[in-house]
Amino acid sequence: MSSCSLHVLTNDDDRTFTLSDYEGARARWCPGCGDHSVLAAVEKLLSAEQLKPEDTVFVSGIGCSSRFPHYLKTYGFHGVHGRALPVALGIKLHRPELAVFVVMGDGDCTSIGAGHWVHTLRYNPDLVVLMLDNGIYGLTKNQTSPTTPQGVPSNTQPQGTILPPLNPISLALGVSNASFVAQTAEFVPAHLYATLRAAFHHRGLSFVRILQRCPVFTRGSLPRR
Amino acid sequence: MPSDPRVHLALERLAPPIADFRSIVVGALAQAEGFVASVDPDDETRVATARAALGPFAEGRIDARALVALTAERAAIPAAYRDRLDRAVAVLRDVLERGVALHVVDVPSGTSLVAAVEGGLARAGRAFGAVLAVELMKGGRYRGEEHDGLLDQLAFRSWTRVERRFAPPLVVLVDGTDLHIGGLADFLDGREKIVLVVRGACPPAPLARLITPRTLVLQTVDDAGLEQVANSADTAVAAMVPDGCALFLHDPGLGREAWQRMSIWNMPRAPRQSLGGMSVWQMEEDLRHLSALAAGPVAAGESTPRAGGAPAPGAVDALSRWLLEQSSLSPEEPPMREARS
Amino acid sequence: MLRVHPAMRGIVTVANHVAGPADAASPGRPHTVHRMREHTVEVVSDSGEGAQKCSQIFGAVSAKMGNGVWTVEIIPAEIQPPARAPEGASGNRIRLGAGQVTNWGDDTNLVVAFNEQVLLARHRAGALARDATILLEDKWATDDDADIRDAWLQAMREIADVGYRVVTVPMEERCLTLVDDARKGKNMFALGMLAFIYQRNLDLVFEQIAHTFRKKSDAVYARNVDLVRLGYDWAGAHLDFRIEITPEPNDRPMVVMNGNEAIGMGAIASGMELCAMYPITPATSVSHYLSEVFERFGGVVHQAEDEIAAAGVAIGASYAGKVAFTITSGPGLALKTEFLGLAVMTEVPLVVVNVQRGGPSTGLPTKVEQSDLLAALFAQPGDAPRVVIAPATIEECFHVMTTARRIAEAFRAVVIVLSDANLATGVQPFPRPEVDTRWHAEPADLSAVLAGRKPYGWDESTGLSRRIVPGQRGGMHTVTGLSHDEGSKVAYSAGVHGRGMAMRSRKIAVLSSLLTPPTPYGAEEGDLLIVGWGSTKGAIEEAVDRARAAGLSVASLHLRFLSPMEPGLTAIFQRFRRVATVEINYSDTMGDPYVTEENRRRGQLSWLLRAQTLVDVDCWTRVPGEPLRPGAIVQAMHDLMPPRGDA
Repeated sequence: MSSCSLHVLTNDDDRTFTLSDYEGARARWCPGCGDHSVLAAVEKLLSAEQLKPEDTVFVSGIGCSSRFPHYLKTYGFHGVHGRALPVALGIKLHRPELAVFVVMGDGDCTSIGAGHWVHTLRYNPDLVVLMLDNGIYGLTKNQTSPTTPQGVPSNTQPQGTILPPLNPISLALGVSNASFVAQTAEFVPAHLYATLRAAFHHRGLSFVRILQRCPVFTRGSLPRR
Repeated sequence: MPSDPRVHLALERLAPPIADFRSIVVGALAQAEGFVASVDPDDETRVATARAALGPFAEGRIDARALVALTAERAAIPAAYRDRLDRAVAVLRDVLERGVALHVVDVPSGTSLVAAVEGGLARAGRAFGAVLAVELMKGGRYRGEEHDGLLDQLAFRSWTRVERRFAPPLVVLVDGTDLHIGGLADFLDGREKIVLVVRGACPPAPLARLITPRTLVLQTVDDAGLEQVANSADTAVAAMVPDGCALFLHDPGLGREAWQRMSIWNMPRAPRQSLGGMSVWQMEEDLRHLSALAAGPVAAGESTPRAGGAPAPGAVDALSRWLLEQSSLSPEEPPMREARS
Repeated sequence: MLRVHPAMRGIVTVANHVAGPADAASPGRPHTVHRMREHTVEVVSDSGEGAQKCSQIFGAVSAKMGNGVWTVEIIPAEIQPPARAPEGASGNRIRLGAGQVTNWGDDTNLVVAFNEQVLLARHRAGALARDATILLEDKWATDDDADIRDAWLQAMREIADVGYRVVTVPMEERCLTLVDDARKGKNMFALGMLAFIYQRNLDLVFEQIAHTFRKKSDAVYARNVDLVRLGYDWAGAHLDFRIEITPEPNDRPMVVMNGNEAIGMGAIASGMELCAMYPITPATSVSHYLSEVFERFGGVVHQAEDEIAAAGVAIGASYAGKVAFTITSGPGLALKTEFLGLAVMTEVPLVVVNVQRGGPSTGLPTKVEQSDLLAALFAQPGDAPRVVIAPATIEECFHVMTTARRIAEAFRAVVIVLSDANLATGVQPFPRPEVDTRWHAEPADLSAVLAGRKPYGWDESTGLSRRIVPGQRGGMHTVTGLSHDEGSKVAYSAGVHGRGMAMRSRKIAVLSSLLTPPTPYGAEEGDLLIVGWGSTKGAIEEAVDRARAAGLSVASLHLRFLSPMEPGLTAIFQRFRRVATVEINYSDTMGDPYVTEENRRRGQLSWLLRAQTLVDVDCWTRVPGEPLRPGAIVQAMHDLMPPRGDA
């Protein structure tokens, strides 16, 4: 690509990057939040793959998880609720040489941004898409999300969540042209890391649902094993 | 340019990597010229450029001069370096103007092949030096005593990893008697492509010693295989040799073992007499090396041991069972629970 | 054969024909040649009968022969409207002139109608001059179906008293001598008649046919050529008039296109590389055009899953490199609102083309309106200043893209380009642009960021800053739609929030300071100043010419920049006794029930001008679903003229 030739030629260096090269602002999620472990795994991945911070972009929507880019020292785009995927697609279309990651929550991905989710899976651009699924709206204080387990009370459905949860994996698998669909959990770090690594090395859209607990609003609804 | 038709044939086949190199220089020149314009003290030129850039719709509507005054950031470049900037631009232009001739090296009989290749690469490498110089000036980090050398020749050994990836391909016309090949190994890095066009008598397998696992090595009489050289993602070296030499291809893409990567079409006898300082034994040794590499499969070793940190299979099963359960995809549980009545 | 139906006695004035050899070289009938400065012709048919193809070819040939041309589509709202129904009328209206034609004019002088129902549609729309000549397919008068014969009779009665000159033409019958299905041939027959009447160069006609049907077989070309000759010969043998519009000499090379094509080409010329869109009438054809050619220039057209995503993709692309653009129409602009707010907040440069149509809601999808001006400026919760530009001609549609992209880049701003359905589908020749490589966007500068440079390093007095894009070493930061400081750090303090607001707003004032005050058309001072914007320029200026010729002291001012508003307006307004806007949008009329000076809802530009200049700017607006006619504007000028002695 001639448009970045100076960059291509002069950006070479023998830098090696350590974990601290990817650390941004101090993460302000609640203590015990699953987002911390995902952040740790992502930083480990970035340094294992020696991604140049300036050639890496994290795109997010709105929600607890969408603070993610602020806590990294890469380029970041913290956009609007549910619409991280179109922005990420635009970046990747124009600058295919960048490594582009998307971080969304369950409300972001499966509710307000569901249309973008389905269709970006179909387009299958080379993105790593992480859906941090704690099954609740945490930032706005405990409202039912599409993945909240049935019966769990919330501020919007205090008698217990009425419908059975949407299943992001079967939905993603139902999209023709979906090329990488995985599920892992924040509290099995080895599996989480291995999944992220496989997702990163997949060419095409890698959709990873990461199950996690909300320390404030998940009332033992996830089994402890 | 040498009149040997094989040189032109080789250039034709190397057109894609030559185009890659040139596109880098074209892009760099555009940006360098943009930078020159931005440090140009001539306001009139800047205003004229800004006016044109706004397009005819803005004519008579937008004050280009005022826009320049508001937005132009005069690049901070010491006047002392102004001529260096012009020289850098001139170098880039010169590299472009030379066209494919830049990619041809004619080694005079009896002189050093390695020195000629080094010179050829350094000549093209001036483009990399110029790019770096412009970049340093843009960043305000240019220091005369330290960086002036960038605008002369830039030897291959100073090229960065990325520059080596965009290395200019070379077609080298050389006497068979001057094929002292060992030194060429120094230049086989990144994506360098070298095609030797051999004049006169030639040792039977001059390139055998350049075979390493990731280097594509080809001996051919015509252009067969040169396309692979041009398109190889790694280093590649080829020789267009006269009839009677070994004809072979070592293609790194074909397998993990040497014998999988080797194809030999012609294996001549060893010559009876020395050639240009190369002894019979040396030439025999080249052929033996080729045969050894191409020799059939060796006994397979032990299968690779399992990586230390991976969990035991039982634990993996348990975990995946649980994960499947979380997505209601496990066979034990129906995918959807009935809605509450 | 020319046949006259009994029901038409009294209105048909064509003499009984003299049968003659059907030979173009020696037309069988003596004919009078009428020399004109201009003439307006329509071809209307049922949807699918090809009237549009016929008139497009006719328009292109006329432009090539040096005539001024303005072509407007007559579009049914449905894809497959019923046959022989007034609401299904489909075709084009072409205004030809000796010199440049800047608008669609007033009335049609000559109509070719494929049935009497589509003719009725045009009659009822008031599109036809009272003395218009009508060439009407005659087969319906004697149709086997009694209902159709009856409908024909009723139609003839309806138009009987107007004074039209109706010539019935056996189009079907003649075409059947060459083709099995006359529905597929009449349009070329009609083209042949027009070629005879307007003395078009047949070689050019055939050349244009070859171009239009380049994807079809040679047999199709040959058949169409034969049909054109058939129509040409029939007209030569049976009509008693021809029309001559001698083009004014012009040696500049010209191009002919519609406004959407001009926007597409302009985008390419400006060096933009990514267009994200979702299909919407009447904007979509920009992407049709681009999809055909964009990739040859290294561009990409992305058809997104919805309007919102189209904006998001364009923003993502712009954020990472060269400015990208999205195209839409009113309902799509509504959906993109949230993302436009984000682009303003993050200062990601973006070009948005809004090809306006009738609203609100789905409104009039295929028809023109200028109702999105206030939405373009203000439709955004929170304060989100942006640039709004309206091209006034098809040529400006081409050139505005370069300017819009440049402004977006220099000001890190959202630039909304307001076109409309009139420009989008109107076809007009204009001087071929001399493309300048300096229009092209430079490649993104990916050099390392100097220490201390901030993502929003606002210049305190201008609000301008240079953006940092991914790939620039040392520039890593996260842009955010949350309130942020110059380092892009989220900050909620009153000081930081207010400063960001001021910096983003300041840029609009700075752009305003760069703009040259506009010059009125017609006169520098006088009784009445008409202010317009967008596609109405040609009609308004023609009206000014006519009104001034009739002795009215009137001038006009046409605005391209609506945000920031062009400077110097107050001073200009003070040189006129009265100022009024002319716009294609809704306003209350004084005298309507309950409407008072205080509660009157005004034309959108007039609302803006009143707010910005404190001048009592009146308005005359209409929402007819079609472009304004200069004659109607002249009438409005008479009505708006301040009474003598009124200070």
